[in-house]
Amino acid sequence: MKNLFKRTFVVLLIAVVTFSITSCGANEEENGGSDKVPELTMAVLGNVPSNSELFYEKLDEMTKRDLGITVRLVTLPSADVMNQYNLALTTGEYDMYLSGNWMNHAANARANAFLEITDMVKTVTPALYAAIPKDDWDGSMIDGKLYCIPQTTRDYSTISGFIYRDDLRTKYNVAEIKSLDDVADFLRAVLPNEPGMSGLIASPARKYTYAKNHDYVGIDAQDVGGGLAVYGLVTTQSNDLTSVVSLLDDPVYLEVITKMKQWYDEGLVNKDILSGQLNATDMMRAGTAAGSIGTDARDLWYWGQTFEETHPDWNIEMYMFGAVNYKSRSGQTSVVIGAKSKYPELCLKFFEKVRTNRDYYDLMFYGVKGANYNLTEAGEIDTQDIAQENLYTYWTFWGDENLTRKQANRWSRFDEVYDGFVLATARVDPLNGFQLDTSAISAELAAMQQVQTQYQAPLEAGISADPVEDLEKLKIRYKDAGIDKIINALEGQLKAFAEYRASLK
Amino acid sequence: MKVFIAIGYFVLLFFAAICVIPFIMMLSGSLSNEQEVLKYGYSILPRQFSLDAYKALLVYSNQLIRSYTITIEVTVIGTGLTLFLTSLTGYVLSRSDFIYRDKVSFFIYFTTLFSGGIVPWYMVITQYLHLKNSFWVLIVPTLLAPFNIFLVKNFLKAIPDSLVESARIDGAKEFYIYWKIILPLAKPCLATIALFTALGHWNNWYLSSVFITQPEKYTLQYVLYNIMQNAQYFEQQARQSGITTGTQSLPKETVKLAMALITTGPVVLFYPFAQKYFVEGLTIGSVKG
Repeated sequence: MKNLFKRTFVVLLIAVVTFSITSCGANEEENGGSDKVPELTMAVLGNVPSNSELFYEKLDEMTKRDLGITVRLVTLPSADVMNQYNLALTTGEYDMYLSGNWMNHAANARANAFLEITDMVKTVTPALYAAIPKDDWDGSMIDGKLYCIPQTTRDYSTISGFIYRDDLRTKYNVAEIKSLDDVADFLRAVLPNEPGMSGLIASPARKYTYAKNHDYVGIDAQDVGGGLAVYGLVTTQSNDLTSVVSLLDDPVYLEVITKMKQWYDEGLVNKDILSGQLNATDMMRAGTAAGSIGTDARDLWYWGQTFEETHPDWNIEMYMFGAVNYKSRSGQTSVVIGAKSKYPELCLKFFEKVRTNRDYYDLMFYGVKGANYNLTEAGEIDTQDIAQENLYTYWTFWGDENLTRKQANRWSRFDEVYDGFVLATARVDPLNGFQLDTSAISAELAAMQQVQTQYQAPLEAGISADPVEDLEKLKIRYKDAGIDKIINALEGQLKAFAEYRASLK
Repeated sequence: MKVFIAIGYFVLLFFAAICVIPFIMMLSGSLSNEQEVLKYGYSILPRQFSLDAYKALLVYSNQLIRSYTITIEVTVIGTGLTLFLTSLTGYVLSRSDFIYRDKVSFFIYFTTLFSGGIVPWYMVITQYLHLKNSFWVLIVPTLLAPFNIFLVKNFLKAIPDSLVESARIDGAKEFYIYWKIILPLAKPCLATIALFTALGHWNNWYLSSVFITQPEKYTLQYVLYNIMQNAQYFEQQARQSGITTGTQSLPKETVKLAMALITTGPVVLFYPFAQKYFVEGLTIGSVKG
């Protein structure tokens, strides 16, 4: 009996070893050596349109002809995106990846997940290097090294404010909204007269960001990134951008939270503001909200367009907090080459094609003409007649300011607001290129996050018996959570960045 | 006595209502106008009857039918294979004449305490077993759960060795004993495992999200999840760049409810089917006294 077991084990062991060796061998043959056209894979976000075979037919035709490769996009599921993204990076599964500051670009680059392309991009793809402004390359550097091809279209997400139904404002004869007090007057006039209308709302994802809207409190402050402004940590603009202050210490902050408490007690704020799960867009559209705070300018044109379709008699307007309007930083979104890719040069050449060739750009950004979009005479993208399942939904992060087309079916006031105001007033972020390294302060940041949810969010929503006392408590909690260590680390990094930038000049 | 029965009925009705009412609200919500649901919340009867939510899902009907088929296949094949392998393993481990049973049991038990983690797991399945995007990746990783093996093992321990011995004396071979004598006795235990496994397979979206990158191979839950993501994706894109796609007016809340109903589908039948065996299990116990 024993012998039989031993023999069986040995046979099984040999079988397993042989199987794994042969399968590895087969794999190598598949990837290299043979005459097969190399297939490059790229991890992206979004979904696969139902007629993606048309897209690949066209893409294969172009890439085989120009580069001798084929490219396949793999979409990462957005629910679990960070886990799956990290999994793909760890196993080095794909050749190219989306990246960006919001996807821990700096941390991943420092951990050698991406290929360094500082010199390669100049020698292998000079046209690509020339196509992107030097500011963007410089702003995307991490510790003096380049790992990504930055997008040059920018978000203008720093401009935030209060978006409201202007038709209701005129209906109840309220003066134009130019301050926080005007917001309160608007709500006071609308709420009693519109049954079913809830008070001030904010989308779940952005409800805890009053302090982040630093212009709102009228302070000369500069966001340092890494989400630290939520806790009130900013640098002041007037000095050299190397010292960090806490907004919570500013008297204006106390003024604002005291005002918020008055609003809440008066019934101007939706009682569910901290726990409600309904999206502000949905509530606005259903007519159950008159205005939303903590929004940014992007909501304005999205809601504008939505209401034009669903409620043509509504008007929306935005009261923008302050006038500081920065372009998002370079490398906010970008594409990178995986450190384990077998075809780094081909990847780079593919990127070059997309960013310098109109046909490639249109295909990768909008899909197949006629199948995923139509082009108007003015060269604008029209998706009105495209069936929903055929809409091009890959999110590929190529955004190029020179090649991006306008949408034909946009909000009627889009040009006026976007081109005329947002774009016209946008300034370059003074900290462009600064990449916060949170590795040494991650425990403190986690503790800060807890305190923020538990103490700061209710305070800013006006849910507080005594704002003065609660603010003191909040500051003590932040001290316990390690705010001083964070400030120290931050100032160190800001100083190093200032020195690095001085050395470039 | 009558009062007692009446109270019993009342209590049962009360709990039944707690279970059924949310389901009815889901049904009526999915048949309501989206704006009404957002305005007034859920209700027992549909407010402003509307089929918009189902119409919105109908756009994806091909994909839904395909994923329904895949999910049914995975559930049926996966549950069948799981039952077969689990009961076989459990049975072998329960046999006292298998001298390595404790060592093998410990080996299986050990994996519940320590696991390699997600990265090695992922690498084994994609780079060594080459199962990425294969139908079997939805079944193989969940085939043998230590908990189920021990459930079977302990259940079968109660069967006296003399039963197996007398079968052997009568000339039965090992597999015949397992198939014809042990399995029928293990029905209540197998029904439990079948129920859990089938539900697990039916509701599983995680394996699809990790290992399947070709949309035509997605399971039902993952397809529905993606449809939802699609709506959010459009919104995000629209906010980003002023792109509008004409999808803003599509319902979202009611679509979620309609989806929940669609996914419930045949699963509601699992329990009544398996219940027969649970009752049987109870009566076996009572006769033994």
